[in-house]
Amino acid sequence: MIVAGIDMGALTTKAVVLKDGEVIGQSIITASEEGEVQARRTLEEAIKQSGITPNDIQYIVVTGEGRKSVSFANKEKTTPTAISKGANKLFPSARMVIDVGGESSTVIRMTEKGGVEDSMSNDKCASGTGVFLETMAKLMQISLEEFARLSLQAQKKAEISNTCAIFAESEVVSHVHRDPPTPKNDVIAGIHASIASRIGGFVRRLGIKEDVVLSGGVAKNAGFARVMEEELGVRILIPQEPQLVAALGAARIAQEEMARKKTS
Amino acid sequence: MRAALDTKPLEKTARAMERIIAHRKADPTRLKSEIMYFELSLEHLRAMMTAREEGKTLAGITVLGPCEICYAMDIIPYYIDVFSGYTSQFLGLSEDYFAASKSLGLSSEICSVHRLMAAYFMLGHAPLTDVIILTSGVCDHTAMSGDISTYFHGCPSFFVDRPYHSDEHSARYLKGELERLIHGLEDLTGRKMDYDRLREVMAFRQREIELYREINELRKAVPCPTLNGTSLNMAALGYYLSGTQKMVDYLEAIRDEARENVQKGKGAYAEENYRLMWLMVPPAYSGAVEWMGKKRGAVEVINPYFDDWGDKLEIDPRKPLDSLVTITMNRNVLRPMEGPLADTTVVDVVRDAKDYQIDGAIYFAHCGCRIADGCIRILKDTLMKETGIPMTIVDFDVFDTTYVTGKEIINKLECFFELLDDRK
Repeated sequence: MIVAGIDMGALTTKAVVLKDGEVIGQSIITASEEGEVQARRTLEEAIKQSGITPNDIQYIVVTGEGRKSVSFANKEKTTPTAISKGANKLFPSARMVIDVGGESSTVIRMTEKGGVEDSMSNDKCASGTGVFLETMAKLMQISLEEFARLSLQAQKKAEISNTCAIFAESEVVSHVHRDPPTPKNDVIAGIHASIASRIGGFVRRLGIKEDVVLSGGVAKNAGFARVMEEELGVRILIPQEPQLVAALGAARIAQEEMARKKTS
Repeated sequence: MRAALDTKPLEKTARAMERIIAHRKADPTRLKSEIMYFELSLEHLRAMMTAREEGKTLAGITVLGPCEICYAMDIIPYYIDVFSGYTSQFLGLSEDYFAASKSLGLSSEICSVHRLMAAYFMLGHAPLTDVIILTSGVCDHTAMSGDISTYFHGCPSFFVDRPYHSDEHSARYLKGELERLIHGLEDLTGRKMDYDRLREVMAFRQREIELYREINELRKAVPCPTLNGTSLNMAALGYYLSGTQKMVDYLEAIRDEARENVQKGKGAYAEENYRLMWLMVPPAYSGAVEWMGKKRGAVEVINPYFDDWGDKLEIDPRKPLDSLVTITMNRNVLRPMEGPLADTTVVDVVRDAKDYQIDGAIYFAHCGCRIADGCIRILKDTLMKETGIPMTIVDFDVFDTTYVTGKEIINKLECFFELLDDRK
């Protein structure tokens, strides 16, 4: 059985192709085109890797904020549902997922089967999202990779506002121009801590439930992951490809739909 | 300072209502009560527009204003929140209204219902109003929007101070407030209160309470026999028609439709996939109310904030003012403001969740209503703990679409329905 999942994120589109439950193709493309075109291109990329033809795909599920723009999918699912399913496949012991994407962050408490028990999202405020980190990295003239690495070398965390990205920017400027300037590593760790504190509030409102998985593009940032662990006081599991969790979950839902069709 | 009166928006609002009625009448799937809702609204709007030339006194009232007193004194009451909402929504004037209220210093943090209300008077779109009756208790913002309304309309106002508690002392105080209002209205109109008439009005009120109870009982049926939004529609009309034959007729129409459906084992929607408790007011935009029922089979079976009148409440129309005090102090929407929640709304929510066999609850968290929103966490946690039923919270503004778009609301609801699917 060959199925696919597509995640129409705010900044990137992701696709995963599954054959009998195993990943045989995957792709991540930065969003630059109209939704439908972007989705097709991303799926084609994943298909190329898997050595199959588009006609071999029996069922497609699309998720993500831009899911409504994809007409060729068989079904659509909301992001929390897809993330839960994806995280559950990767880490069956997971009961909570923190997904930090480009323009939103979502915290999901989940059941042992990968169903959503409760969720909270922030898509109204830049602080607590990947875009905030990108802005801060640009402000400090450091690449995102370097940004993550330097954070791990911090001695302490500089005090940065955890409520507003705009004010945080001024605070970073102030740290950089202080005499003596606050060490870059500490400023970056402080920026990570400000996001972690905001997301930590969501996590506590839902109630921490281990194991906790960190997904989304920001999960690639080891510095942030460490600060998030410190904030919550729990060990955090990070998938190898954290950006693909929702697409993987969508593919898994596609697989379940096919199985349901066969039995009905 | 009286703003220059502009009668065109009211006329256009009336025409918009006529079109809605015609549209509903042309649709064979529409229920009699759905048509009746706008027929009664239109009839009332016409009465508001012609009150002055017919020598009638017109009173603008805010939420839980005692419209019964107005009817007993031959005064036409109109619920400002609803009618300013109709004009702004039907004529696409929301942005203009919000801009106008902003110019008065009402920021977007102020409840949008009250911002629309203030602009309604500031722009001269309100009908010629002789008196404004403001009340406390539910909406803190009334103090601000009410004063602005009075200022721009240049008419007198009365403030009925409703105490926060429901004890005997508070009841005496509230009765005194109602008597003070009556004396003020007597001075204003030059007419004495007709207490026999008030007894008749309260007899209608008693009948309304009985009908509410019948309807609520019928809504326990699976599938639910009533449409989404029923709770709010009954409340909204009741805010200015309570104590009249018209309100009784409307409730009887809903009761009869519900009873017929129950007898046939039929639901109000083709499918009933999720039985839902709604809390507070759903958005006036986004089409979510209909979308839930028609597209997702997600049916509102109870709204504990608006489905008033538990069995314990009894009134005696022979003692009309005492009855009015009892009614005013026992509105469910006030219970979260009184507290402690564990003795009031929490009890209602948990009991209703069981009685109405709900699958989930949706709290429509209107961002302007901070008093009510303060209860969300305890309601959500208790519902889960006591019944295992999940509640989702839809953050939005009831009129201001710049806070959350309709698309975002639908997305949030879809997410919740998927959660409910997973639990099946």
